[in-house]
Amino acid sequence: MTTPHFSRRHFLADTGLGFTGIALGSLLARDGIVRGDELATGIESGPHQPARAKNVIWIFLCGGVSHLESWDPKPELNKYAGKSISDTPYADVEKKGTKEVVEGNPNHGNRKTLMALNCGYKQYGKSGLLAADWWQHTAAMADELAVVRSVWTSDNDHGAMLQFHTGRHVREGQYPTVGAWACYGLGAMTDDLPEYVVLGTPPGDCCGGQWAHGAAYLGPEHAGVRLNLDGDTPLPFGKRAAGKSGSTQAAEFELIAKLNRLSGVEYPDDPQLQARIKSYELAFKMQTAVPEIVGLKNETEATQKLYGMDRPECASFAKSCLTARRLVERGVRFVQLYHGGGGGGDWDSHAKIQENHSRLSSQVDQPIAGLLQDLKQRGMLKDTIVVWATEFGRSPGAEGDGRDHHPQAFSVWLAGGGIQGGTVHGQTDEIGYHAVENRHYVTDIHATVLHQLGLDPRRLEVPGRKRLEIDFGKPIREIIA
Amino acid sequence: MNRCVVLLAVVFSCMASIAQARPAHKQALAAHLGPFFLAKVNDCRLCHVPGEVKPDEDKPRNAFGESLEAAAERLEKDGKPAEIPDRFTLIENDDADGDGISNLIEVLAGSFPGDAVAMPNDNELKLVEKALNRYRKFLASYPWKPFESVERPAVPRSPDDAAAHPIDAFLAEGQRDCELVPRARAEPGVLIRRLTIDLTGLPPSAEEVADFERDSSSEAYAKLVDRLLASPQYGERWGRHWMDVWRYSDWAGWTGGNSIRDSQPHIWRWRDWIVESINKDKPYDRMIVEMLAGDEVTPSDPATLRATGYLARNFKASRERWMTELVDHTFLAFQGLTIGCARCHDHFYDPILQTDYYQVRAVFEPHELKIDAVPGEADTKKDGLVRAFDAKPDAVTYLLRRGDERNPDTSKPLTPGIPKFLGHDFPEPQSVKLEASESTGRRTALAKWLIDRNNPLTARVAVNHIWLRHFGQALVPSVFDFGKNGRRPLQPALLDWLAAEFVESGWSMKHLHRLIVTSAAYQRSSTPDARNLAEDRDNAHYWRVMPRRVEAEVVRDSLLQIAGKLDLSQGGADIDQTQGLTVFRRSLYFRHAHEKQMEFLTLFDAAGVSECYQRRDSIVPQQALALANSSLAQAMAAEIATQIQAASESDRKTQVELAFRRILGRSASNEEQRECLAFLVGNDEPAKIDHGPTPPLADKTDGHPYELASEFKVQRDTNLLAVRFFKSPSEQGEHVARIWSLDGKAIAEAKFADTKESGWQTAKLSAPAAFKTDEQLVVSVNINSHYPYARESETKFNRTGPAIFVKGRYGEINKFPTGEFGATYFVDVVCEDAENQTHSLYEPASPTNAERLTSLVLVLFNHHEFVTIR
Repeated sequence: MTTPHFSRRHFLADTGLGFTGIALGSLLARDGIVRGDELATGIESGPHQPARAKNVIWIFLCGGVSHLESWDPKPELNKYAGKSISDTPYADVEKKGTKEVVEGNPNHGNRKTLMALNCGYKQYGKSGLLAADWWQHTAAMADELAVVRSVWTSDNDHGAMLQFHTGRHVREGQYPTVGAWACYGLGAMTDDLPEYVVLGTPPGDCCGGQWAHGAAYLGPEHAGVRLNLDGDTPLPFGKRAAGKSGSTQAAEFELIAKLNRLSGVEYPDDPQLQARIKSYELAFKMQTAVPEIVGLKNETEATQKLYGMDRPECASFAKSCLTARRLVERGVRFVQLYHGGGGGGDWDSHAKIQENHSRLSSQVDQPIAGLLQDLKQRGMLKDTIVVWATEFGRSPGAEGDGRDHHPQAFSVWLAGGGIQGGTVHGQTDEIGYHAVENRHYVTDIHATVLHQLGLDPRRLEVPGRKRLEIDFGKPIREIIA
Repeated sequence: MNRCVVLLAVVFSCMASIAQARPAHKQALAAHLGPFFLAKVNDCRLCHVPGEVKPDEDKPRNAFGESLEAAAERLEKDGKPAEIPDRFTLIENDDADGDGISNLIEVLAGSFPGDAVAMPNDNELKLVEKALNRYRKFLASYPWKPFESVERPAVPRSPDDAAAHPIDAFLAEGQRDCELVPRARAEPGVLIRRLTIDLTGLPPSAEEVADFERDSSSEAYAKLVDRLLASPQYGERWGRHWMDVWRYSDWAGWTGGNSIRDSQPHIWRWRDWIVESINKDKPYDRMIVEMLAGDEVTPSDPATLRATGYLARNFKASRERWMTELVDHTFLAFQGLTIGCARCHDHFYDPILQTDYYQVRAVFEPHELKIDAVPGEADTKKDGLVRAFDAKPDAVTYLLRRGDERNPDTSKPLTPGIPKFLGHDFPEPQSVKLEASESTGRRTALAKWLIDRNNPLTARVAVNHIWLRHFGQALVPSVFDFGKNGRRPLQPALLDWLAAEFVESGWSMKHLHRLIVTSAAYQRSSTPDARNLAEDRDNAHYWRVMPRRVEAEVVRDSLLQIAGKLDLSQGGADIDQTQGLTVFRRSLYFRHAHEKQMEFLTLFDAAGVSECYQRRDSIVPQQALALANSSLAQAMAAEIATQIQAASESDRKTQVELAFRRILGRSASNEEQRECLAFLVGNDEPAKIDHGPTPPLADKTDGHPYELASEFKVQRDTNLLAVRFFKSPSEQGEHVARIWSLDGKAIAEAKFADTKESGWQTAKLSAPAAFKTDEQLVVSVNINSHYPYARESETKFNRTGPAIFVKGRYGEINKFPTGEFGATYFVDVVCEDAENQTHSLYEPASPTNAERLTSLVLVLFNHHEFVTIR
């Protein structure tokens, strides 16, 4: 019996393709050749299904954004504020929902006294999307958004950040993330930037750390590559030594590639070696590509303003959003944009939610809205899916002047890339406690995104790596245009 | 086929809420059934039916769930253990749902034994029949009982390999079952490199490799092991490993003086204690005692007091957080238990009660930290000894309800203690009389409890950490969780045997290292073969050594070591992390604190400062750039190239060979030799304009700006395409080039792109400018502060191009320059001749042989092998 995974790599080494072997590989990928089943059946021609989108901008707000004060405001909370849930008409709400949450930490949860909404809300767009004032800029783009109000997860602590990206509980360790699957399945569209770029600070190690954009068994070549936009060196050591010419270094890198590929004959299946070969090809080109990308000088003042670059509170995230668009423009497949990362995440407002969420939303609201508008006016939104997500919602019940973790229900929205704008899908109960209609586990979001990219999650499997039913998720057909 | 792929017991997805769910039950069943617990039945429906759940009641059960529950009563009545595996065994041949197929067969077939509708099909039944034997064998295999004391298992001896190393004997069983053929011993060159890096964190010298390759005696390897274990660098290498586990971090120093935050000033003395102790092979049990209670066992010995730096970690954003982390991490590090879960509630998976947690905390409650003066320095801000002492012997500990410090249960003060389920008692703390005070002896008691031979976890956890760092893969993959929510080892008997061996050797780490590295398993080749790979992709059965990336410290230290520049002096205060590229001490001596870490190291995934039980290895382009562009790599490459040049008598073949042996520890293959030679010779490629020249003085400044220029003469009709200048490393700001007629009229202008790069910069003219023979012009660039410089007489100019250099000029910035100094400032034009060939005023320099050799060394730094243990 042949050993499938082996064969392709053997092919590259044996045919003496050398350096060009890799180039051939990425050419195949650029032509829409999809992996996944390739390992079992040889290279497959054509994607699993027609692609509606090419790129993804995956915005992830760390710490748990209140669904109640964003995309799922509940008027009943204002009405019954200060009352115990059991003293309202919704006394039985807690018991009603299916109970999928493994409350590893019962310190979270059990907030019984309802808290009024901490900001106003109104209807936006032709679709009349009900959204909170803290998100007014983004909400103004309501007719581009498909809000899913019925997402749930099973970890009630911030390990849910990792879970949101892998579909697995943090205790289970490292699994491929949605971004890694997308890149693994489709390959790169650019040779001078990584296919999977990460901006912002990832969650702390408690909660997944760099695993939240990792590739696990798919090999480090498919993991997200971080660019740091904060300092003046987005790419550490990104400058050639004084006096070394580009062509000298090109010759050096070419020799590195040749020598590394010679090692590949003895280690044909070493994912680390594959990743290193790729990382050198990228590194050389990134020296010029990255400063060009992150230098926003060519962007007009109007564009910069659109994102809110002129407002100190949101300038930093505006830069990330604008850079995300520039990355996508240059063929980066998957841009993961963290906000408020580090530790358990900035949005984790057990106390002073009013102060926390108003401050943090003012950092991101206009930049995100600007990103959507900019993508739209450039005609890029049709090919680019934008996802807005967080690891869980926040409790309808008060925890002092904050809200607690709430994995039972939260909201995620998608826009662009063949997603039906102006849609609200799924529903929570009257106080936003449980997702009660069209419930979706986090991997359904993955499946939807992968589906739009032309991938069938079920065919993304690697021999010897068991995937569970729940890993695959199901595309949310109702929000696909 | 992947018969031997290890299915993980899956924790996930119990669809029940806390009051009713028993994920621990499902977990226990998963552990009992091991790889035979299929994902299909890893579901609450295995035991439960959907239905209304009342508070404080169990989720309704199906027939199988009821039967499992009833089994408990039957067993308890007979006084037998009634854990989930016992119960399952009792009812496995029953047929709970009455569909004619036994519980066991249904579960193995991936069907629900409590649901008469769900039945396996014929095909599934056939598969089960085949699996049944393997299942029985699995049940009979060596049990993993991490919470029971270690009993030394017998080494399994097969008749055909009676003399095998015990480690190999343990591994052979799994290899045979999976029909794996272990790889042969690695080549000597590979072996010495692997071993030297593993034991000292540094690569061997070319001479050491050659000596080892020559020594064909049977003791050669054992001698090598002894030499490396005796080298002082061993303590630095393995000290750094244990610094990961014990969460060493330096003081970030934000708050100045004696105020303490995120570790302590002068905590480096603890680091030195670690390195020295490891080098002396201080028994591990003694190390635990000194770290937890050095102030109680040897109160007057400053050398030992250093060990209590362990207690200073993360002191103190708040005392609450400090205590929490101390309790949590002491158990993660020494016991592989996630006791932290029990801070708020009884542990979900392991029998750790919330009161257990606070009893452990009571051990630490009295202690505080202080800085003692050290001889010769009275000011403890400048230097001192960080140490623990019991400041409040009477401090009381209460259970905090839901872990909330605002909500203590003051009705029950707690005595110091430990989780009871581990089976041996906490020794009564004996208070210790000190000079002026008294210490409670609680920490000594905890240390004694940890190192008691009956403690089931201390040795197992330590051995697992050591194994992980030798092989790059752990026996228990969840290195800090040996509990029921962790992952079980595939070779439990091996781990137990090693743990017993460790304890009986007097907790000698060197004994354990020697044992491990002399096994055949450790010495195998790392090259894969298709058959083995198909059976066991993850090398779970150790049929080869997995190639792995070296740690950040090894990357940096190797660069220095190979160049002969590594400063091997040991110990002392932490060195400023920003000096990592210019101070050549070993990496572990540089400041490693929150927000103060050496970038070069963090790019290669250096340890996290708040915890790091296992490094996470990434491979990203930034690492390539650090090895290609950093001043450290450049400087070391130039140094090595000079040495090779001197030793090679300019023979290029010898140079390639020397470079390979020094940097990768092996000879170049024929193909590598060919490629590298071609690179060194450069194929006599024509020199390109952008190769140079490099000014002899590249970064001159007079503290003010200039307009610097070259006057040139056209000797054949030409199109002028672009302007170039050499930008000094310190030069910044905008740069504009101007072309002037000799009478000072500006004719054309070109703006350079803003860049932080130095070296030759080119700006294209918006349109080519045509000039006629004999026209004479000036090209100038504004210089804001720094400029390159050479005497005209010492510079080679291009005399054959369409334009030739006449003289250098300087003047006031942005004005026509009129000054002359007999110097040239590397301001240049790019001209095109009639054949569309481009030329410049300076003679383009091909890289010299020395430069090419430096490049080759740099290339080898960037070889995958350089950062890999093969």
